[in-house]
Order: sequence, then C-alpha cells, then structure tokens
Amino acid sequence: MAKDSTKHLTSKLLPKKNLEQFLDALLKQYDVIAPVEQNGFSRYQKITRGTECCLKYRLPRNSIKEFFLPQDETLFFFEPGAASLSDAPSAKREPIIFPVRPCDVRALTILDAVFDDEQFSDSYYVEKRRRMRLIGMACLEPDDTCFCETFDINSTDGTGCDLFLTEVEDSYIIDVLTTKGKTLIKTLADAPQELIQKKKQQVAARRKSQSLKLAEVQNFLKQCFESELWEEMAAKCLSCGACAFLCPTCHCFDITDDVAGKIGRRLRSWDCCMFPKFTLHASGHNPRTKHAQRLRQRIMHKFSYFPENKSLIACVGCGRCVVACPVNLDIREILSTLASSTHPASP
Amino acid sequence: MKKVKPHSQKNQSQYKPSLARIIAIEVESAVRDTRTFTLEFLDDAAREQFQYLPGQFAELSVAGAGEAPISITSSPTQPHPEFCIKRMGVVTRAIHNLSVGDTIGVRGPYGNTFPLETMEGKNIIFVAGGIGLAPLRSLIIYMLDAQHRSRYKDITIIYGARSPGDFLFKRDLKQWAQRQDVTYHETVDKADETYTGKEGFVPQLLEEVAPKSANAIALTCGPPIMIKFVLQGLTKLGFTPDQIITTLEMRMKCGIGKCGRCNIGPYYVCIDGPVFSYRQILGMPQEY
Repeated sequence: MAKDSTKHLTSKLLPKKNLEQFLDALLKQYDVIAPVEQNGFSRYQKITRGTECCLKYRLPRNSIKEFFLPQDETLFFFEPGAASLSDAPSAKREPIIFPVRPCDVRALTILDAVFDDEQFSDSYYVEKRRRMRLIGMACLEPDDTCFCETFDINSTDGTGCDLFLTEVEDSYIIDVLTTKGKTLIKTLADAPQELIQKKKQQVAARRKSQSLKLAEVQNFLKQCFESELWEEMAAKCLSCGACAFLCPTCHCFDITDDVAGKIGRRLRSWDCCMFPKFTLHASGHNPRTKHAQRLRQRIMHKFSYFPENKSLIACVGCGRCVVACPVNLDIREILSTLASSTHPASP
Repeated sequence: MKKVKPHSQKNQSQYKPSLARIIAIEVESAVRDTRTFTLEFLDDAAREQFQYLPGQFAELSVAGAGEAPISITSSPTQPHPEFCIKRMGVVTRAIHNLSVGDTIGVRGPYGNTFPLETMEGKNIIFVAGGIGLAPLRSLIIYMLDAQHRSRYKDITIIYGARSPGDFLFKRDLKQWAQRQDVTYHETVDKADETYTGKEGFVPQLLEEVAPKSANAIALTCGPPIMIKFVLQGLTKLGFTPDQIITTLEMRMKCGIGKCGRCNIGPYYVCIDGPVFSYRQILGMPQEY
C-alpha cells in the first residue's frame, strides 16, 4: 500500500471532552458503530448515545469485518414451495465506524481483494463497503500483542479512512481525508498550527509495534508444507475457530437454508477452515481430517496462497487471535518457528 | 485451462439463483440412485445468461434444502441443460424428491472448461468410471456433434462401472458403440449372469486398449482410486502430465472463489478448476 497516498484536505480540532457530543451529533443522521465496554473488554456494536463509546481498550475484541460480512446474512427470502425469491431489505441510514485502527483498515483492503475482484464482485459486500464511512484513529502506543509493523502498516497513517484522528494532549486532531469525511465535521474549528506541529512530533516519536523478521514469508512457507512441526504445533489446537471468527481478514463462509413457518431464507454465515467438517464431501471423503492439516491450511492460506493470488499477505498483525486462543497458540510463534526451521541462522 | 469470462453481473446478486423447471427425469441407475434431470429456465434472460461449455458446473438448489455444485452433463449443442445426480446428501436427496414440472434454483455456469482449443487436431481418449462419465459426457457429445467432429481426430471411450446395473447414459453408450468414428470399450468390475461383456477394472482395460500417446490427450474422471491407477497407466503408455486432463472435486459453496472451501494451494477448484491438467495437480498440495 502506498505510504502517502492520503489526500489531506484539512485538519480540525476536537477536544476530548466534546467527543460524546460529537458522536451524538453523528447519531442524528447516521448509524454509529463504536466500541462498547463489556466485561473487561470492548466490542464494536451499534450505539444509541455517545456515552456508550468506550476507548479504554485499543482494539475491540471483534473486528469490523462483521459490518461488511455479517456473521449471518440473509441473501434472499423465499416461500417454501412457491417459485419466487425476494431480496432482503437494505438498511436505510448510512453507517459510520468510530474509531477504526490502521490494521483493521488494511484488513478491509484484503477483503476488497476477495469480494470486489474483477471476475466476480459480491454485491452484498460491495454495497456495504460503499455506504460505510470510516473514522480512523492513530495508534501511538501499541499493545503487547500488536505486530502490524511486520506487514508495513503505518499505525499513524489514515489511508483508507474518511477522517483520521490523532490524540494530542487533551484533544484529537482530525485529518479530513475525503469529501465524504468532510460532511461529518462541519461544525468543528480548524486545529491550531501549534498542535499540528506537536502531532507531527508525536507521530515521529511513536513507539512502533513489534515486527517479526519474516523475510520472504511466502518462500519459506513453501518449504514448510511437509514439515513435522505442524503436528507438534497443532497438538493443542481445539479447532474452536475463535482465531478465525475474530480475525479481521478470515472470510470463509457457508451457505445454508433456514425455514421458519412460511418464511425461508438463504443465509450466508461465517465458517472456518479449522472446523473438521469444513471440507467434508457428501461422499464422506474429507481431505483435511487432522488438526495439523487444518492449522496448516489457515497459515498457508494467509501467508502463502493468498499472497500468490492477490499480492497481499492476509494478516494485519492485530493480535486478536493471540489474545483469544483458549490454548495460547500464538500465530507469531508459529511463523517464527517455521521460519527458523528453514533458516536456522535468522530467527 | 482457460478461465471463462463471466457475463457482466456487477450489480446483481451473485447468490440469487435463476429458476428452472424440470422437464424430464431419466433414471440412469436404480442401483446407484442416479438420475438425470433436464431443465428449462423460467425466463428468457436466465436462459440467455446460462451459456456454458463442457467442464463447467452449476449450483443447483431446492429452497429449504440448500445448494450443491453439480457438473453439467449435457453439451451446449443440446437444447436444454442436463444434470446427472446421485442421491448422496441433503440437497441431492431433495432434488431426487422433485418431479417433472417442479422448480429448481440454478446459479452458474461456473468454473473453467475442458481445453477445447488445445485438443483440436488431436486423438482424444476418454477414461471414465461410474458417475465420472457425467462431466465427460458433456465433452463427448460436444465433440461428436456435427459442427465440431472434424476438429478432433480419433475418439476413444473407455468406460467402466461396478456392475452392469451401474452403467449410466445407456442410450448414449449404445450410440457411441455403434458409431464408426468412435472406438468404444466398456467393462464392469463384477459381471452378472445377464452380462456378456468384459469383466475387470478400468485401468486393466486401459492397458489392453493401450491408446497411443503421440498427438493425443487423455481425459479421465471417476473414483479417486481409479484415477490413481489410470494416471499410472497413462504415464506408462507415454502420456506426459500435460497430455492428461482430469477434474477435481472439493466441497464447494459459493462457486465464485469467495467462500474459501475448495481452496487447494493457490487454486480455488470453483474458479481455477474443476478441470486441471495432471501437470497442475502434480504441483499442488495433495489435499483433495
């Protein structure tokens, strides 16, 4: 991704104490999706009042993918027995997500490569993507589980957002990056030069997230397909799929029919290559019966197959899977273990 | 294998099927619960849009039961699309429960095609087992059609089934056996008292027939164990991995390279396949 492709229109000032008021104003016209505090973590969900937004945690537990590829989505309705299909109604109000971190924005470009490719464009995804406004926020201080730097993600760059906030003292400097973003901040004053300078200093001095030294990840993984390490690493995997459901780039889905009385729906819902039945044929044959084969599929898809097809690594280093795994499988360790098994000299 | 450019469907739901009426049901094999369904689209736009070539498949659905990918067994030279379906899972069971006149959902056509241009001017050998004949039948009928026959040289068909009752498309088999421009061989794994033909496995028959590899392309489709030995047999006969074409089966849902299910290495069977050369298969992880 180009480092400086952001077209910077102007910078506005939002004092932190006015944040709730700012969100309340947006709520008059838009659906606002923001992190809401749960029991010791936050979750992106639709809010009804600005006070619900909780910025205590860097990354909400869920990613923003569910607002583009919902966990369950009605593709169309049908009446069982009747020969007609009807479309699912579309949402009326345009949505905004606040705040989106640069890793999650990168994740959207990865999903774009899947759902908005030349050959088949997925209208359900594309329509949601088109309607969505993204208000990004810089990360000046990464979490221990963050490793976005590995994938050349600049955590202070707002590329892909409509507005981009950077925390400076007790305010946010809002960079206005698109005309769509401009309509959201009409009432805000321009940011004073002094704070803009300060922001630049902060950005320059930011603590970067950790970076795994993964030179040519695609190439070393190609040598790892038959590695015995997969068995070893997957020994404790429960195939629970938490990693994939929380992953901002995992996008595998199932299509099923659901009938309740006279209302039938064809649904698409999240699925996961870690589930044993994911590849089960109707004949009973299953090409990936072992945990190790499925763990390998997930890692190879993200770091070898996907890059081969789309020239993008399908991981953004958000660390959600690291935090959520019930048996402490750590994707960073998996990659470094494999890397050092092929290049013993460089970890 | 050439990727097929789909018709522009930019603003259209990729997942909403067109509706078709079942206009004929042929019981192919009572033993194996296999039937061929002939369909006719309810509206002209859908019929126009469904332009397919041999090798492609479609997602068939019964509202309430779900969707399943099924290879197209007819040739585009025929008036209506046909699908040969074995009763296997939830969706195929629901399809088998339908009658002539009932409606069925159709999405597609999807996937690549047999390499029609590469095969021109060559001797063609078909090696099929059981329901593996279904996708190959599309190509056989296509090649034998009067407007295409001259583009291909000798056509040899080697077909095997478990028992005489397992032969599919009996009306076609009879015709192929009678045609002067086709060499037809068949075998059964196990004969019964009514059967007078050859007994033995398909790879053995292939060895007996021993088609020449010079200027030839072999296409094989059938159960995995048969394919394994047919590939060995063809290799022994001098066929290079580029001269052998087969199809892969994976569980599929979307059919358009999104849902991730049919991914093998860098390939998605639904868009990069289902037709692959043996050369391509040798280069992919053995996960099919």
